[in-house]
Amino acid sequence: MLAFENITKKYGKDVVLDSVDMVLGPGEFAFLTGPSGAGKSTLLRLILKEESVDSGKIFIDSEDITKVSKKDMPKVRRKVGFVFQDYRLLPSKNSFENVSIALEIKGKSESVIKKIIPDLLASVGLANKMDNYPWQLSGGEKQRLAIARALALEPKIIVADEPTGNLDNATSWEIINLLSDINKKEGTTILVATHNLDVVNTLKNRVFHLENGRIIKNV
Amino acid sequence: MFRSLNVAKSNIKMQSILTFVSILTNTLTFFILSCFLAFALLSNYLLGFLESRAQLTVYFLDSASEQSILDLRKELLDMPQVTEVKYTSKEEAYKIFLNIFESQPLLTESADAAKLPASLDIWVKDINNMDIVSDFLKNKDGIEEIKYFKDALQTFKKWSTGIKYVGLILISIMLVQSFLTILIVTGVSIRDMSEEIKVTKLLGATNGYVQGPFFAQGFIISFISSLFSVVLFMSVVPFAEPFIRQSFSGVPIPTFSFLTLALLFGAQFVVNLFLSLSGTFVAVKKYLNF
Repeated sequence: MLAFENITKKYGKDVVLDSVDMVLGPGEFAFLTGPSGAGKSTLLRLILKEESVDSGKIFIDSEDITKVSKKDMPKVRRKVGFVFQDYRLLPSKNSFENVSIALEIKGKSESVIKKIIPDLLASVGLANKMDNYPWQLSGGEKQRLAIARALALEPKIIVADEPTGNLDNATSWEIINLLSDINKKEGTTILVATHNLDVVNTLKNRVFHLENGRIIKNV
Repeated sequence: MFRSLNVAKSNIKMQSILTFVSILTNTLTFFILSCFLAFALLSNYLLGFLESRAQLTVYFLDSASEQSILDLRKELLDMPQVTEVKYTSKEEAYKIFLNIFESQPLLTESADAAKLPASLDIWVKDINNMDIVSDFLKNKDGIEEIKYFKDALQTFKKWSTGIKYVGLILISIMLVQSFLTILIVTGVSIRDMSEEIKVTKLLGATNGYVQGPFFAQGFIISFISSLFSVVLFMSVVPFAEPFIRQSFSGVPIPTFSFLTLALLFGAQFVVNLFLSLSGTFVAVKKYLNF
């Protein structure tokens, strides 16, 4: 479960998020939409505590992460698989190594890592790209690799911030379908922030629409 | 642990020139530290040795009777400044003379016990007490000559203390320099890895996971530079040793044992490690705040 309870965030006098309430049940797949500057990315960054709330609570399962200390934050971050618009892959590492970092952080042994990664890469359609570096991958492949890295953490929740923002329409659908498959097969809760109304309207999933820092639609 | 060492090794490769500068700086710092340490030990040893020799020697006129000399010895032993007094009779002086010059028959043939003076060798508690004892002896009858090396000892003590202070200042400056070099090397490593660090932190990496490689890098640099400085020091010792022995002939200067070297390396490594880890710690606190 992922829940935002009365979240307010200000930058100086600008109110970016104004008393936002939002709840995603276990295994739910929802979209977070809204125009640029509506506060979508800020809301998602609060989950990773890249920024802190001014007031309100954020629950991951039953834990209020706004109260988690900086020292204990890594444990919380390992519960959430994050997918970014700009992929945030490490250019000096190949596909295998990019995914292995997440597994190392999780404390997996080298032998386990070697066993898991081929399956993980295969599950996102990158079985034959194990030795490729990010610059040798297309935009869609980079995003698949980022999803594989997020999956390596075995998260209960995947949060994707504009995962199709840099991709063409066909590739965007590939990524959305991949996330949808993960949601159905693994029961992972997924929240996708997107501008892509074509995807949102076609899938008929739950939508939270954010405008001027407030949720104005929850359908 | 192994991951930290592997990442540290790749950081060292990436910043090979900076790492080389850091190792060189630390090596020189600890080599100079070793040299000054050796100098301090040697000068302390020499001072101890010289102070353990007879500090004042009083030679008596032939007219002085043995009883009057022994009475004077008793008086001296009663003085609080005096620790020991040794009497050498004319006969004993002759035996010593024969021993020293046994290879020079011309000298020994022309000498006899009557020509050599009886003497008292006097040890005092402190070099500064020499004047008191000397003044006391000047008023006594039957004394031909009083010899002592107060000025030489004091000059030696002054010089060795001066050199120790200069060394201390120089070493302090070099230690600060080594510390700053480590800080810069670690800071550059952090900057180079900033993107990777940001990503790993977002994936849930702990501080230990992120900081480990930088501390491992500090460990490697301190280990290598400690080893190099001991090797450098040991390669200088064979050249310096004959010169030192020649300069202080007659003084039984001890040689460097394996245990001394092991202790030197161990002590250097501990100090070097502390310095490197402190530099890394400050760099991590200063630059790894994203």
